[in-house]
Amino acid sequence: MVRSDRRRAAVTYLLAAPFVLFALFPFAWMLITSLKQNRELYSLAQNPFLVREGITWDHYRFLLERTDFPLWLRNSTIVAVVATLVSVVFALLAAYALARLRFAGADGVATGVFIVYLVPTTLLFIPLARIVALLRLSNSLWALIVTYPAFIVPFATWMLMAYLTSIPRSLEESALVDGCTRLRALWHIVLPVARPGIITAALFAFTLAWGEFIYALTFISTSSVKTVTAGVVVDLIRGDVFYWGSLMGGALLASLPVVLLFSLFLDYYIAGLTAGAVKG
Amino acid sequence: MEITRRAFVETVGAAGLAAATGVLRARPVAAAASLRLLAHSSYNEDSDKAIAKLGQDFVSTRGATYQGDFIDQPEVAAKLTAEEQAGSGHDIVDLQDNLPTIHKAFLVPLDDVVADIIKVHGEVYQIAKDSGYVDGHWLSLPWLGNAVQSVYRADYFKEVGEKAPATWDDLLRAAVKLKQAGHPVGIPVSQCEDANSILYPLLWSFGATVVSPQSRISIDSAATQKALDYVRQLFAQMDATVLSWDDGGNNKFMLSGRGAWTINAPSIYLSAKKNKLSFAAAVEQSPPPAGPSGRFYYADIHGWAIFKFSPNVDLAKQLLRYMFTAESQKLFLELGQGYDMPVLPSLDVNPPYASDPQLRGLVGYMKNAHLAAYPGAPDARAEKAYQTYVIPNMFAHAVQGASNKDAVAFATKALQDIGYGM
Repeated sequence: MVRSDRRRAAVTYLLAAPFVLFALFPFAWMLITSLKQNRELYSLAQNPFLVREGITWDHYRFLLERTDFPLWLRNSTIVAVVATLVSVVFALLAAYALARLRFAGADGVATGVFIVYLVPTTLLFIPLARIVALLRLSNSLWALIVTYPAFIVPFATWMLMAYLTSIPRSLEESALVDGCTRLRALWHIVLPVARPGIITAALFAFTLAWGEFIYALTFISTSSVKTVTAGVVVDLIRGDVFYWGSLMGGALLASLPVVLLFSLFLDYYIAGLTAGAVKG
Repeated sequence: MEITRRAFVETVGAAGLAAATGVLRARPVAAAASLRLLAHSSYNEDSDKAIAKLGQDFVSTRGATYQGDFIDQPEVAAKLTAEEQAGSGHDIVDLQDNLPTIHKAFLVPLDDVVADIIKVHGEVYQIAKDSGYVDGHWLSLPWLGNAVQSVYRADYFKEVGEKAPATWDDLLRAAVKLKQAGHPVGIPVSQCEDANSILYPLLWSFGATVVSPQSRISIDSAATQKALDYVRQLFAQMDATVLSWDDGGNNKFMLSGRGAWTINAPSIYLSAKKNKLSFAAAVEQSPPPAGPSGRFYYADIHGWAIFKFSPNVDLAKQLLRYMFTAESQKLFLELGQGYDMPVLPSLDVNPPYASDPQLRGLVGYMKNAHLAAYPGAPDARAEKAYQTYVIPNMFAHAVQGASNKDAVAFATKALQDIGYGM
């Protein structure tokens, strides 16, 4: 019995290994590149997976001391957290209404949300630039906090609709029969049960906000106000010279918060994605 | 306290309406004028610092504030478009080459500023006028030029018994030997600005033109076919990766120590020196190769333009005049290190970088240099052909197996789609 368990575990790990290597490859590449000296980076004889001429921390020192990278990280955190909170609240209310309530035009609204979700964000940056200018939010984090829900809310609504549909109606109906209002039923009954779905939607919303580039580039110009996606690309490429070591270091450090969040909420994420997969 | 649904909706609705109409927004106290400038980030960080210093020095005596923003060149187009459509953004923007023709509806004429500068310094180079003078008005004030030259490893050429190539035939002969020695030559045949800056003058040096002086399509010629045949032969001596190089590709190629020759701005030479690479002393520069019809020079011009929506047009014009005082130009050229060159002949007599023998060849470069529009009109069509990489794509088709006829047909169709006639 023990031997067969071990064999099963070995097979599982062997099957998973290629996927793990594939997933970790970019991070390994970024880390190794960020630790190489410039002369090794330029050398075509270098091995991209080994540091042969000595590790250097110069690229990280340049990133942290000679650029506004810490500010970019801070800005990204503020924008992503606020935009996620705002978007998830709106999306939850919209998803609940569409999943639970019966009203005229509900199907049309749901279809409209789906269509908006499909519109590429790149198509919207010019009209949104006008709105941002009208609201006098240009070159500030508010420009992003106000515009990011435009593409996060439809996505999160669609995701939450699917999740809320899988929650039995009988839970709320019992509460409504007992005299609970709709809002209280949502707060006390639906939200606790829907926690995995909400967290999953929040994780995806955060990732979308964290990694967004075109709005961050066009709405913000001043280096100290940039988010990490725009800052790393714009400030670490000068003319035809790419600061590869710092670029990779910046990309690696910028990806860590998202990795950390997904790791912390992995159980909720899996529960949120698999809700309704098992009948009953 | 129980909140009813009606009270909630009324309160939120009123707050939203108030925010939308600005009732909640505090009336701003009259603030000092704020000048905002947008430019491409130069290879040389000190160039950006020079512009920042000039801006700060200017506003310090005028009770205003200054903000200079520098972004990567490929991102400038998206920024400009967004600001034009929003009617809000930077006061002064950096426009390259024939971009003033694309954005002309949004730009303030600078005839008075240019006239004042010309009165002091004399006329600008013709290539600078080709960039900034649009439909009878100066829409951008030419600020600097970026030249391209041959950049090569003198030690590799010596190793194979060759000297710096004076002609394209010299280069091809040397390229065969250099490839065998493990140090190939390389030029980008891809969608990047470097490819434009190399392949346009290559065409001209073979006697070919993209459009005629009357701006009619003239790419279909025996001279173009000779240029295509030549590049096919040269491509056989290069790494196939040149088809995917970006603007940093030939930099990496040379700075890796493998490359023997390319054409580029001085950034390769200056980077090798700055990073103290072991072979830095062997990196030299020379004029670009000559073809059967002579040697042609290409340059990019950057100029300053003022958006019509700027609330500080007069102040912006004063800053532009300030940037052309003798002291300002001296500071800028010193810090530019030869990567950025003057657009005024009077300032090009003995610029600071002329003391470097490898950069001395840049003195007076702008006199004979052309923009991509040459010999046609420097208009929006030329800029679109440049931005959509018509010529690099034509050569890429040819080196990847297309016949001359097909490659030229591709370019002709692309030029017609842009608006050129036959």
